Amino acid sequence: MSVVVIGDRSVGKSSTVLELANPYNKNCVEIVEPDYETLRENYINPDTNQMVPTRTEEQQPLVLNVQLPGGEKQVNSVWIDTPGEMWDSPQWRQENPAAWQDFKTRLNECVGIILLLPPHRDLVSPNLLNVANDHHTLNRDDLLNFQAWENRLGKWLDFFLQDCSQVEHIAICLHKADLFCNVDKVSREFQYNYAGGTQWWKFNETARKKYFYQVEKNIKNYHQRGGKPIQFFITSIKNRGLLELPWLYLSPYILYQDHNSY
Amino acid sequence: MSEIRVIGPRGSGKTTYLATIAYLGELARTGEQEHFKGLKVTAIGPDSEKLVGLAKDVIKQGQKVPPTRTKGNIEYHPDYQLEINIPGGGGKRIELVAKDYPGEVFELLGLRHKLSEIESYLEDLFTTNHWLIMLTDWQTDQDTRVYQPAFDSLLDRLEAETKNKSELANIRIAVVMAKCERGELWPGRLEPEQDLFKIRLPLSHDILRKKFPSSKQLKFFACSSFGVMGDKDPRPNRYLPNDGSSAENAYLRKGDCWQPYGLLSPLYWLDTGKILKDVRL
Repeated sequence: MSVVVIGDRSVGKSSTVLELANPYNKNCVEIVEPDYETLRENYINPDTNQMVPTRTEEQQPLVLNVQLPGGEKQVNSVWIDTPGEMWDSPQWRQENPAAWQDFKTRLNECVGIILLLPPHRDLVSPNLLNVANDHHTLNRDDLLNFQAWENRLGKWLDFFLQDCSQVEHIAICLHKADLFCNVDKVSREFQYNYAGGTQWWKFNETARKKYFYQVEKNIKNYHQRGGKPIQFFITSIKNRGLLELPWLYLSPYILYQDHNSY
Repeated sequence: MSEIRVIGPRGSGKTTYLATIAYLGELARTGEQEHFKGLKVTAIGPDSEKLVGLAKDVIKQGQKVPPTRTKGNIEYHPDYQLEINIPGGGGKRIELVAKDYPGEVFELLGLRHKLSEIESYLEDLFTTNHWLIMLTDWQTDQDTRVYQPAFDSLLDRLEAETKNKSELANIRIAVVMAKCERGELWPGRLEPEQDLFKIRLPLSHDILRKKFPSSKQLKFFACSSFGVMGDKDPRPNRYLPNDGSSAENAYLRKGDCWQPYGLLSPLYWLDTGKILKDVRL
């Protein structure tokens, strides 16, 4: 029943989960166990008020309250947080072959994967980056340029094809959306309706065509090689509605997984 | 109560079919289609209730039902129990227990050297004599490459099993062309044997009809879990992404226009041996 959150170093994996536990911004998803305060104690350095980087792979059982068209449901999941090094350092994988193999095995037992991608440098608006300075530790120069970002995405898609063939649901989030768009305005295009009437395929098409059009060829190629369906999102901890979407998308699959076999 | 087994290749829409049936009562209550008025479906037990949730929270919201994977043994797959009350003509009631087989089971049938991998499924299949076989014709070579060898093997095994199990001599097999909302299939839905199976899956049709010349034992149906956009709008209520993914990866386009077609007819025939007058049901 796990959902694994993956992404390169400093992309904001832990902070997304922390924000989803924040009861003050709740929309349709809330992590209720562990509670916000407990997660804050675990992930925030009280001296600096900054996120503590994840050093080891951690499994955190989560209980989420989720508003679905069928009513409010409680979803149990295990969030597997991973150190960024696991993903962006081939050296780490070479030095820890057993841990890497073990992780891949467990990954394939998951219901879904949420991949967080940082925006590429060319997408980021310097103005928005300045505005967000308080919340992000990134410099624009630290971000990948488009070409390198595209190559990295290609590696992720290869990883899904080669190493995640048993995982049925993949959510790719272009994260830190507040660095490249007005998240409040954009979130109106991706308004989830808990009473029903959401068209996920439409959300997917909109996100893909608007924010992933430059890598359309890579996506087509991935599907033609038999890749599992991917749902694309843009997310930001600055907009709870957008941040909740991948979990709203995955929750029914976690919830109804027993009807089917995984 | 009828025990039904639902078999067919991967991606033919078996789980979507069962989930849609489980949700038909709700669609009848909230929809505007006259022919569904008064229809009631009760899902019995937690597994069947999950089917309803799958329809409401996944299919209706434009998400895709995940494939049913093999668990190595049929015992680990749930029994879906549904009670269906069909209005009209004094009312008709079907009680059924259905098991949804992973598509891989059907596909392995034709590979005789691999039959041992699906033995538990086959043993279970021959404990019932009501089968619903769901097919699609996306790939033109499926009829030759997968279906015909599968039916060849299945019918050989059926013949052998019938010697020990006399009830199998009364078997009823409903063969259903799924996803017939597609423009090229929709006009053929009224005479599915003539206009769909004979033309699109001739080898499968011939091998089955040769074994069962009587329509009392073998009948061909057309169904669509998604249906079309409306009575006066025959566009398929489906969305196919243009992202290079397979045509099997279709999504319900508009949840509020959802009107499935022909889902109950094969079940009713399997249960009673009679034909539902309204083929839309």
